[in-house]
Order: sequence, then structure tokens, then C-alpha cells
Amino acid sequence: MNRTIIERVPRIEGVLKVVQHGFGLDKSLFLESGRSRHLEQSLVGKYPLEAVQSTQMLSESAGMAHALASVSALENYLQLDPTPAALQIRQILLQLSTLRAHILHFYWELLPDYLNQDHISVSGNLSYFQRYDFHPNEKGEGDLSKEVGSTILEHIPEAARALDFIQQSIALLAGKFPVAMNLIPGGVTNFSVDRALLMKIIRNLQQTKPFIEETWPSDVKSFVQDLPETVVVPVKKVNLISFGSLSSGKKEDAERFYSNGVLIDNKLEPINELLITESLNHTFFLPPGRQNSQNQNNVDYSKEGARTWIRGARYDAEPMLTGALARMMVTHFGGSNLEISDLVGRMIDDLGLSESSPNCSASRLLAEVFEGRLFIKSTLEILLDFERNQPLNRQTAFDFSASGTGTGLVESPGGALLHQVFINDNRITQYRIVSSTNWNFSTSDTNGKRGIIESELNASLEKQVLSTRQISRIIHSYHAQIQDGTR
Amino acid sequence: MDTFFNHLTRRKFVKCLAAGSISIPILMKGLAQNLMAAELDTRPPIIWLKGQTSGIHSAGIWNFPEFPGFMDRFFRIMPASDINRDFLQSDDSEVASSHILILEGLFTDDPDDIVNDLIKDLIVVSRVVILLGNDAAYGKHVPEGFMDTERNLLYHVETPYLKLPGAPAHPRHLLGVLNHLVLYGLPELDIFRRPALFFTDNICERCEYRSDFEAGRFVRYHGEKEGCLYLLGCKGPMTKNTCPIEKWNGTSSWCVAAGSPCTGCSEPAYPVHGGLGMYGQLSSRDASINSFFVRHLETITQGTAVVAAAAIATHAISKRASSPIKGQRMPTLEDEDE
Repeated sequence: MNRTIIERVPRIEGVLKVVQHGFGLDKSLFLESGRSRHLEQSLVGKYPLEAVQSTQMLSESAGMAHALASVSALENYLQLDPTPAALQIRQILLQLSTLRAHILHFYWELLPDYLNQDHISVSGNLSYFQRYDFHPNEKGEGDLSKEVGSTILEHIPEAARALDFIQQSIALLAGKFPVAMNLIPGGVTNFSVDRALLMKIIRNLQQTKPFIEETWPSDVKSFVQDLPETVVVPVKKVNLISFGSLSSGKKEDAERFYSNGVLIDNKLEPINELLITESLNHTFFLPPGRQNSQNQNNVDYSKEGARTWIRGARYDAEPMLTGALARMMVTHFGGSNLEISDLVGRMIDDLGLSESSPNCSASRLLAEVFEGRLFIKSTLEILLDFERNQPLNRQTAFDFSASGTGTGLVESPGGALLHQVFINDNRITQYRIVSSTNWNFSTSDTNGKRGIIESELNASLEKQVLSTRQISRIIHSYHAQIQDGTR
Repeated sequence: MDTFFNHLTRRKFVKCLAAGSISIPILMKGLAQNLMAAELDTRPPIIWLKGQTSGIHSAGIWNFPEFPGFMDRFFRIMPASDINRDFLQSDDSEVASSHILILEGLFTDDPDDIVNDLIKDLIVVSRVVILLGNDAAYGKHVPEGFMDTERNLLYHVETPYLKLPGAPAHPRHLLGVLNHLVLYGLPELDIFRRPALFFTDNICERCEYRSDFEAGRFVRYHGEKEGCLYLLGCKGPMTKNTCPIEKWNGTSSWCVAAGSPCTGCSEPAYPVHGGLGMYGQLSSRDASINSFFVRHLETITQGTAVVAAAAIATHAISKRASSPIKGQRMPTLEDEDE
């Protein structure tokens, strides 16, 4: 017997429902998603460059990462490397869009779950939540204290201004935000990367730097200190995956920030793409090779036990956590970046966690803050050192006539993102996306292994009765780009 | 500025908005004065209902820092979670029956979907419906399992509706329409039900590379050089939008300025464009090209190639026939030994 607990989780991209199965001690929670747009199928027959544009529509926060993964897949097919200058511009775009996604995540998606009418009466600023379906309730269990909540709320206009500056900076390079128009295989199409443009972006980012380096970290720190439950680790054993940083275009710091790898049972291994699979258990998709006789495609709305359109990403049959924390932990274990190792080490000590069980709301939020600080610093460095006379692309026409395939791996704000394209005679013959939502928001697979968030919800449910607000808090502590996963 | 806005007629307002000659802050200030002068005692309620959407149509609003305060002052956005059956039958019937309804994203055809259940009743009692973004505005390419919003929900009701398409929709269009609705009522619409003040002129007519287009100076492959992107499939000649004058995200940037051909994202045919796709080149007729050179570019190129090939062949034949063989060494006995 199933009972809907949350009909529609607010303030996320796409549609997500939380359902309880069973009663009493046997009860469990699972996630149901909104429907699929069948984007992968709709790309079949299209000219390959269209994938770069179309896949960006899947997500406001991860759109840039989709574009980069898609263009990387095309480059992999064409065997065409982007120019060093183009890599630098791409690095800026990905870092800024990730930074923006993290700010939006904390202030507009997660924070409202901990606010009540008391906070609003002190600080106001409710108008900044107009489009985010936020209706402050009366004071409830686990809310922020009046002082901390009001202080953070007072910083909302500053956070909104940061989003404005970051979006402007991205648009100046990419044409517009959130849909980037300048990415092509072999580089970028920009021609006016002149001194004035670079200075405009630098000025924008300099203005928002104090918020990113001081206000936001201080808000997250107060948030964590005020809410001890955010440091509780509901699931001790968790495996991690990270696709690592984009190349920065400089040989000496190709792995400038993040290493790629998987951390299974605290052992770091290099990624083998062939081990990334997707479980169709409890999804509306039919197994490979089977077709629905009615609509001639691979989905069945009446499939027994089906409840989600999010295919379950697994690495070597294991669910994996992905996101800012996973990126930092994998790099920490890899030992390639001392600054990150130092940050992670101190964070784990301060929160009283262990390196083998680091996954809690507080560590995920702090990892995003650390990442934000590293990214703003790195972006400004790239802009200041940018050599304007370098070629921005390979100055060549694209030949998509041969039959072949290409893969692009990028770390989106929410985590590991894979695009795979199959091309023949100038047309896409097959397209595959595995997004961070497929890793974190998947339901149980045929081996009975739940995805990361379902595991956390059920582990918390075993310890206490969860209110809808507590469930919402757990979901909002992750980047929830559901349309990314349903596609 | 006070003087200007004190005499802002509807005609002048539409002209300024369409030409992009007033910035968002000035527009807000001016309209605020007009709204106050009109002595609106109630803030028009807005219900912003999201179907399945990624949120791309709302992101641009962050680039107008005045937007939240302005909306809060002159409109009343109802939280979507407050919109339910009780709301429709509530005492606040004035709000329930006089709201502006914004529909964003795709809506499923699932009868058990709570939004699906509510949306039909909301539309009937709305003052006007705004379809924001391509998913809501154009039903031609709606994926299986979702509704064509216009055909399934709006054809059979009397509620007026308009479309603000785009990938993403331009936030300035939304702001302009909301203010037009409050001050002057429903704006004039084109045949696709888009506000004529934003969707009348072709992108190409106001593009910075228009002179290159006229002169036939084209970019031949992505990233080759700065210039007109017509040969790369630019849909500017047949796309009606304000991108070249309003730009994006409060900057001086837009798609073509970044080196990308216009993909015609606010046209009903997007992204298929009658089989051309985003990057398929328009025929000279579709592009309404007047220039003799551009219209006959292909013929001229082919003709030139044929003439050149013929000339080379003739030259080669005549050369072989008339000139002595030079530079050839006669074989020697040593060569044969090798």
C-alpha cells in the first residue's frame, strides 16, 4: 500500500514526488519523478551540433555543463582538441555557472526549509522568493534560530546581486545565459575577446568577490553551527565518483583542481567508462531490445512496478555519491591538490566526521562554499592572464559524415555528467546522457541497492518519524535537477 | 524623465518598448509613476504555475535587480503551493477570478496529476493567460505524455491568452506585457498570438552584420571569422524578435554577437524549421534576399568553378601539346643495371 507524502517537492527543477510504501516498522520511502521529455530519442536524426543547444534546455543550473559535455563528445568523435584559449574560456564558463548554481542552491532552494514567519517579520526580503514557491510557516522543529535566520535572510539581496553579476559575466562570453551559444568543436566562436570585455567581466566578479569569499561562507558556517542535525551522517558507507576538472589549457596544471576517479571502500581507482551502467528497475523504460507494441518505442506507462523515469546510474553495479563533496574527497584521496586536501582535512576535523564517512548536509554545503572560493579566485586568474592573440578555435569545418562515436565527461554543479553520441552520415543515430540526478536520485536497482538520496531518507526514517519538512530538507540538501535525470 | 513619463501614452509606450529605447530601470520607474497616477488600489494577483520545467525561462530575471521589488509593489504573486481547490472556492473570490495566469513548462496528460486537475478550472476564471517559453507556447513538438497547452486547454475557453516564446523567453518581454496588461489591457498580438510590440521585426533587419549580408560577405564555417552567419543556417532572416536591440542578461551580448547563428528559437517551427534543423541554411526565397549576388550565389559559384575547371583543362591540354618536354633525364645504362 502506497501513500503520497509530498505531492510535489517545491523549488527544484522538474517534478519529484515522495511516496511511502507500507506501514509501521515495514514502511519505506521512495521517489517518483515527473515524466520524460524523451530528449535522447528526439535527437536521433538531427545534425550533431544541435545536441549542444538542445541538451542545455534540460537544466537551468547544469545547462552549461550539458553544453560542455555535448561539445566534448563531438570533439571526441571528430578527434579534434580545443585550443588552449578556448579551454580557458570554457573553464571560466563552467566555474561561473557552478558557482551560480551553488549560491542558488543554498539561498533559494535549501534555506526556505529552515525559515519561518519570525524570520520574515524581522528581515523582510520575501519578494526575492516570488518565483520559488515559498510560503513561510509558523515556527517549527529544526528551524533556524531567529537571529541566525534573520541575518542570513538579510544577505539575500547581496546574493541576488551576485547572481546578476555572474550571469552577466557568462552572457558576455557565451551570448546569453542560461543557454550558451559560443561552444563549437575545437573551441569557441567568440571574436571580440578584447581588453574591454575582459575588464568588464573582471569588474563584475571583483564586485561579487566579497560576497563569495566572506558573506556566503559565513552564512553557511552559521547555518551549520545553528543546526547540529546537519552534521549527522545517516548512511555511513558511501562510494564516490568524480570526473575531475576540465583541462585548463596549461600543461603544468591540467589537473588544477580535481582528480577524476572512483572511491570504492575508501580505495581510489581510475574511472573505467565501460563500468558505468544504468538500471531500468522501477522505471517506465523497457529492457534493451524490447519495444512497446502500441507506441513503437521503448517505454511502457503500465509497466508493473514502474514509478520513475530516472534511470539508476551505477558504477560496477554500485550506487555512487556525486557532487562537490565527492569531487573534493576524490581529489583529497588522490593527493593531487594540496589546497583541497588541506580544506577537506580541516572540514572533516571541524565537523567531527571521518574520511570514510563524510557525507552529511553540512559537509556537502561547505564543499560547495570551498569550491566557490576556489572558482572565483581561479576565474580571475585566468582572466588576468588571458592572452588575447591566441586562436579561439581550430579554424576548420566539421565533418560528421563518418560513422563513429564520442564521449564527453564533465563535472556539472550536481556532479558527474556523461554524454555519449553516435553519429553516421551527418546525423545523430543514438544519444545517451547520464547526469548527476541519475546517480543521486535513482531508486532501487535489481540488486535492491537504493540510490543515494533514497538510502538517506530510509536510513533517517529508521531512526525517527520524518515530517514532510524534514524530507524536503534532505532532498534540498542535494542539487535537485530532476529534469536532468528524466530528460 | 518626469515630464516624459507624465505624458506616456499607450502609443509612445509601445513604441519605446518595441524599439528597446528605454532601459529596464527607467521603464520600471516610469511605469510605477503611471500605475500610481492610475490609482490602482489593488495589486493584480499573478499565479505562476510551473509544469515540468527546468527553470530556464526565469533565470534571466536575476539580471534585473529591481524586478522583485517592482513586482512586489505592483503585483501579488501567489505561491503555487497555495493554489488548490480550496483557493478556487475561497472567500477571496476576487483574487481567484481576476488573476493573471502564467503557465511555464510542459503539463502532463496524466488525469491523476494534481496540477492537471486544477489547471483547467484556473484558466476559465483567469483574466488572461501568459504561455511562457516554448514548451508552453508551442505544442507542435510536445513529447508523448504531455499536453499541447494551447490545443488541449485554451482553444475551447474564452479566456484571452498570449505567448512569450523563446529558448529561453526574454524576461523583458514578460515585464513589458505585465505592465501593458495593467495599464492598457491586452497588447496587440501577431498571428501566433505573440505581442506584436516584440515580435514584428526580423532579427536580420536589425543585426550588426546586416551590411555583410547585403554585400554577400559570409562566414563559411563556424569560427572562421566575424561576419554574417547566413550560410551556417542563421534563422535571423525569418525570425521575429528583439534580440539585436535588447540583447541578453543586461549586457551588450546576444547569440549572433557571440558568433552563433540565430537558431530561430522563438518561432513556432523551432527547432525543426521545416526539416532544416537549427543549422540548415535557408533558401534565398525564405531569407527574402534582395541582393542579386546573394540570390544567385550558388549559381555564380558553380558557374565560376565550371569556367575555372574548363580553363585549367584547356590550359593543361594546350600546354602539353605545344611545349617541349623539359627536365626529364634520359635513362642510362647504370639505371638499367640497378
